[in-house]
Amino acid sequence: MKYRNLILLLSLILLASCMVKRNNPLDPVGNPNIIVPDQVSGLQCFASGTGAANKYVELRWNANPSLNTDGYYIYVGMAYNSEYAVVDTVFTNISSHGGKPWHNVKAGDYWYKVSAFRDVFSEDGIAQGKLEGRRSEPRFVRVPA
Amino acid sequence: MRKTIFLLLKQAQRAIPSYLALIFILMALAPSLAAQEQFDINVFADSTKYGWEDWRDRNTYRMDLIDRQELLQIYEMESSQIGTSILKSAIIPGYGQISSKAWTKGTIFLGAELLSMGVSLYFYDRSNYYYGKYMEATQIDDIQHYFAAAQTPRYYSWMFMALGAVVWGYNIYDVILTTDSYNAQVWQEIMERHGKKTISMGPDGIQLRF
Repeated sequence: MKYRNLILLLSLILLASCMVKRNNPLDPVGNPNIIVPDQVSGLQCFASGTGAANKYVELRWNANPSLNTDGYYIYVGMAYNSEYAVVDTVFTNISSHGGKPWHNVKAGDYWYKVSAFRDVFSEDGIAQGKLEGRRSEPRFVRVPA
Repeated sequence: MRKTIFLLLKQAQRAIPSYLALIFILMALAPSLAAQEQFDINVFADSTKYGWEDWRDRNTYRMDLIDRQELLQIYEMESSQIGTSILKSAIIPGYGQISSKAWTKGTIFLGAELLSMGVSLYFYDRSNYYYGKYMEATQIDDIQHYFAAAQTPRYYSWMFMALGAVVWGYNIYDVILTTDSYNAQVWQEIMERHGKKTISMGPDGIQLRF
């Protein structure tokens, strides 16, 4: 009985020691003080009109509470299930992709996603990075020629 | 100092009469004299007390003893030491068995150990790969996904590591049995070879067996 308990205890210690540690400073499971940004909802996309010289896509969504969100990432993809790339970082719930001189949107079909992020700091006030929340459902937009 | 002892002895000689001194000496020597009386040369020289009938019998026994000593020397050379076998198997699992001519067993142990350790290492590497991704991840879904992806192979890695430890332990237990069995076989073979030998040379000359 004594030996059985000892073996059980040793097995538990071994099992605990072989577990992967949650050392990522942005992991909310390992750091309960971290607030995860809400998933972005209500995303709407509007394309510039036919024959527009500067083509753009205007995006709007419901703003997250400032308690859990410091900004937003704008993603664009060529298809619903394609890879998405970050094309802009904004701090309000409106974005115009292509509306700035360095943005250039060509005519075609696009899928957009938006996610919120929050700056995470350690207890000492050192920046740990930006924790990004869940991305919104993709929204389709066709930019006319 | 010597002078003092000499004077004391002289005084003692004067004090004790000589016949009393003789009695004391006889009393002191009595046990050894009794022992001398008990010693019997015939009994001492009697070879039958060891189970030998006569000198021929004793000679046969002697020859047999020399034969056994010779066989023991051969056995010492051909047999495997258990301690050495355990050490070999502890360093390279299966090596002790291979040394004891148990090729199949040795190969199985070596293969099983290499396989379990190899698989364990493979899963550990995979786990580390995903753990690296987890550490770099900043998006909540990626963090959760990569953590789960790192944890599962880590469990497999430890499972195969434990299997390797069990194989290693059993390999140590088995090498003791294998070496014992091998040594018994070596002794049997030596005895058989010795039994088949018709001519043998020894210090007493050439011996022929029929």
